Amino acid sequence: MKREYARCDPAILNRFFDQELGQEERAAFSQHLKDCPSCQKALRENEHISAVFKAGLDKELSQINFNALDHKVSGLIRRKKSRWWMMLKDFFASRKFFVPATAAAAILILTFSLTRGPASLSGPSAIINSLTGDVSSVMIIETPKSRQTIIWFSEIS
Amino acid sequence: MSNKERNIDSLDEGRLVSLLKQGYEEAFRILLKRYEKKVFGIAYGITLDREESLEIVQEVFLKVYQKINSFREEAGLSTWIHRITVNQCLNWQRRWKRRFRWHHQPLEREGAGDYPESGTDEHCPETLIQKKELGKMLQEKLRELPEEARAVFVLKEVEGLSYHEISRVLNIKKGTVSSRLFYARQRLKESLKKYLDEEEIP
Repeated sequence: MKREYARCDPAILNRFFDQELGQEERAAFSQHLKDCPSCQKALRENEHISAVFKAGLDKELSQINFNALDHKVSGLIRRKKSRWWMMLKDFFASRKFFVPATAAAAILILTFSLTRGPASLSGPSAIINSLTGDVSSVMIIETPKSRQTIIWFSEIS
Repeated sequence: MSNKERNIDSLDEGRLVSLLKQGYEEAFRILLKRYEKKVFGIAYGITLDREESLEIVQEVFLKVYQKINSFREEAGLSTWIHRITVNQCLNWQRRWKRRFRWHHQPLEREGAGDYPESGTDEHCPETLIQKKELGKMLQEKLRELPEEARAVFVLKEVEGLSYHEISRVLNIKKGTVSSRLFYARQRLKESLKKYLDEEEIP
């Protein structure tokens, strides 16, 4: 069924202005608009208000230094970013930390290697007992860590 | 501008969000370039105050930076940014309203503007019909609108969003968008009637 708008409807006019009407409604309202000076005037007022508002905003936008604003926002972000992990990251990444830390580590390694023997070396196996006879001798030895007993037997030739 | 920069500038929204989530600084620069004017436009439309709008732009981008990892991409990035902007503006107005009772007139004072009545000595059509003057009047009358109606009007006029998009930004029904916009325009027309009528004279 063909839709028709016999009466003025400001709400429909508003939706027409905002291009929110369906195709059929739009066609019907366009038809009404042709013969309705009151709706034509209302539409012109909408356009006028919109144009004046946009002109005022454009004027305002033209007076803003957006480069300065970018700089300010970027600075804010950078400061925020550096609050925790960036601070830590910067700390570790900075030469102020790494150069003295490397030097200190080198000194420590050198000192320990000169003053103490290698940690992996253990002492000789302990001789628990030994017997020496006329024809043979026996030695009982125990290993230091695993505590294994070794019996060493020797015949005197 | 290098090729790399050109490629970055033409990033689609999904890729931009992904880079932002990775903390890529260049992505943030692109975001700023893409949205700062829009954010300022909305902020200025709602607050009608340049300095406050600049502050709001900073707050919005700081918030975007802080919350980008919780952005679930159910709505578009622009919808999300618009939403943050409107919320920041409304928060700003609530702060000021509490402090200085700055703001719109209550509904019952509709039509009782601060402007001289027709026929008084102060009322001079020759000067008042000028566009500049009308612009100033419009700003004053916008200030008197309830903040909800003003937010809808601004999103429509500044960003040209559809009713559906506005409803997503403000989390209201599409019908509510339509009625608030209608209300805002009707009030502006009524308040500015004499100036608009002057403009009609050929």
